[in-house]
Amino acid sequence: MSEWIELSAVENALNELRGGDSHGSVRATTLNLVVRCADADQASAAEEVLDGIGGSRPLRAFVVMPSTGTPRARVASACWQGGGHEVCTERIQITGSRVALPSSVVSLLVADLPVFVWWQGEVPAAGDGVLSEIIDMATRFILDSDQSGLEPVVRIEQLAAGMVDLAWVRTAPWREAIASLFDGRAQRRALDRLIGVEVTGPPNQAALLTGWLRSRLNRQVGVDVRRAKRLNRVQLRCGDEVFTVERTGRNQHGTASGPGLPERTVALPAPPLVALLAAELDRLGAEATFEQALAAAQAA
Amino acid sequence: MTPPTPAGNPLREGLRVGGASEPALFTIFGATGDLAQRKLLPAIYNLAKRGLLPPRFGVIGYARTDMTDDGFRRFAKAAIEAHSRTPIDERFWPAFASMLHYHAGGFDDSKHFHALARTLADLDKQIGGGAHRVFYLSTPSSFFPVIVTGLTAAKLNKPGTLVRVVIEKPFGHDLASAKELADTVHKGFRESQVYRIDHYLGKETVQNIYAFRFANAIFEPIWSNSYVDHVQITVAESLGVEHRAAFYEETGVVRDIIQNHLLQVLALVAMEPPAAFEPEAVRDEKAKVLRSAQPLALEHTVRGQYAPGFVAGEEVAGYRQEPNVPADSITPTFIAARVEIQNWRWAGTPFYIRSGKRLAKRVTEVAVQFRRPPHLPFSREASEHLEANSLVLRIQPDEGISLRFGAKAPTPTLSIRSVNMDFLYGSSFLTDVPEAYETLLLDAIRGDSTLFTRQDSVERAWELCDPLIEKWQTGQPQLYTAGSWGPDAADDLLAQDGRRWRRP
Repeated sequence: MSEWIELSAVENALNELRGGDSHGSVRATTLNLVVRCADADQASAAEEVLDGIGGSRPLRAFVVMPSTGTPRARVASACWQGGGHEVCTERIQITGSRVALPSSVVSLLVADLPVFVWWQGEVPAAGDGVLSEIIDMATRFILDSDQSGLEPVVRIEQLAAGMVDLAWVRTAPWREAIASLFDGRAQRRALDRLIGVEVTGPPNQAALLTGWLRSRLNRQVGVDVRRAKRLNRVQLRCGDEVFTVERTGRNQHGTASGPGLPERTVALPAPPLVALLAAELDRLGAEATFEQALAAAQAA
Repeated sequence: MTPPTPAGNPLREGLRVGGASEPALFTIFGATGDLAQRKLLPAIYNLAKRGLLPPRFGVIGYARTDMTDDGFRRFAKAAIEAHSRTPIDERFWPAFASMLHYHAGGFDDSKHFHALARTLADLDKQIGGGAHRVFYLSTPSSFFPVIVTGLTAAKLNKPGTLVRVVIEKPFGHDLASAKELADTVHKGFRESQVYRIDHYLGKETVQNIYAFRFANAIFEPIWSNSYVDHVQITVAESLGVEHRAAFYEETGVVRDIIQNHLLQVLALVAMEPPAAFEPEAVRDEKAKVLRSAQPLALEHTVRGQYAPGFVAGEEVAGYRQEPNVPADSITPTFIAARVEIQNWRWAGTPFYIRSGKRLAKRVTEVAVQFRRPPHLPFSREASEHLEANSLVLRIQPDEGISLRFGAKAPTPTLSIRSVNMDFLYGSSFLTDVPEAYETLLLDAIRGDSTLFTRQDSVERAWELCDPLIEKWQTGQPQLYTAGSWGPDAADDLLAQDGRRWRRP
């Protein structure tokens, strides 16, 4: 990282890091990523995640942290080798008074490219001006209800154009495994008799999974939650029949079973944060299935 | 493309998984062969690891060798260890291995196929029923007739909506044999069930020609004879014939590269926009443009064969000095040709194609050379070094796009020079690029035939090549030094039209 500099000096500093005007290279950048951190610890953790994303997505990243005084910045450019090419990303750390941060970021965004906002820490109450400004600039707004709980996710989802909940993304392999139990005709008929679901896992993920079932089936589904740190088991009661997806041991696999089906191994990966976030940077726009699941989770 | 979902399962809607979801059983005929070891088994493993295979899935290796399921699993593991682009994940291996099964049998006795039918029925039951069946004929094409006959006799070709057969090129060695092969396959399978695989079409950068042309509004309006002077397509190899002399003596450059890879790339560059990126819409347009192309004419072609020389600093033998090549071989290892496409879009704009072995470097690219501006308002001195605009789609290596345009040089007097603006895929997407076979096998499992070649295109490609192949049965190819860009006559071919080859 460079020394702390004024915002007006950021573009020149980045240009120098790229080798100056005489370098004559073509810069490839595909997105802006704004990481909002509440404190230095979160900022440091965010830097590690950005290192992990590496050159897989050439981006301009902003690590933004509120403090006091006029906003100032530090810049860095990191390059990665791969497939015979060098991919470079730019990183801008900005700190300053809370109200000045949104406009600081806007002035440095790479023009006309999507803006992903990854919000860490407490989410301000509805009506907060700074939050509104940041939501306005975001193409996608990323939260993690495993950290924040579902309430802020619901709140932001009503305001942001595209909302991502990393906890919802973590449930993807479970949803795939559950769906696969009902591909057969006989099992599909059982799905019509679904009355309740028992989830061993975090309550927010249980709510999202139940909301997903309700929204897909367009009817009420009861839920019984056994609290655990991560999703370990989902059991669907369809009349007298029980369908189960269950993690086995500590590995990234589990079993899926149900009446008329042989028990089989299913992949239940729990990707690290870096991988989750990187994959989300490839998607643009709102995800209707998530929005419907979230609405159904709330409606219960 | 949206993968098909098992009809009526409401939980499938909106799932993000880009892979296949319908249950499937994938049978590899020739499962102990070279292609299965180097490409098919590693591709299936990587698809599984990426979570793209259906949840209910099985692979059945079929070959003559006696082997148990466990033996096949060990065999597959060794093949994957040796050839996969990603290492074996020991934690994942047991789950993957449980999908692998083996069925020993010959190709010429119907009892083996009836036994296979029973095995598949058992496996289908085990995975919950309703599985699609994909039969991959990873054998020499001489076995295709007996395998198709065997599958048909055991009723493994039905129902047509669930069963697909994948066949590898060559799709015949001329028009007559291509039709004969198709007739044989069609005795058991409808055309919609036949997936003719050309791995070239599964390459990310070949597929990107679709995206480049049809996802950008700025190129398509100038993609015609109004603005394009000519197009050059180069498929150059730096390698020689290696250990494939017997194969190559029977084949030559036209059958090996032009009839399939190169004409398919030409079709992608020249085709009209399809109504939708769907199998029949895309393949209709490709077939249409090939019908508009004129057969390769002797007077517009150059035939070459490599002589000793140096490639990348290494001294190499000439073709006739290669092991198992007759000293008087006239097999062409190089072709340059002018192809005319007689349709509204391209009439008057020639496509120059060239391909060869032991050329200066390995490269595949499409160069679209635009017309010069109708009038240059600059002095002759200012613009004498200005070249016409060109757009180059590089398919391999260094996949990317390069645009050449004129810019003012920073000199006191006005001077316009040509500059290149390069875009490298690798500098925008530093992610793991899947092998072409992964893309194509997944499409076959999903039942998406967009990237597979339809019989009418195969036949038309032979119609374009056969007259030349026939004429090249006599006479001598022009020798070119290994490490060069082909015989001088290839330069003359363009020079007589007032043009020159691009140096890739």
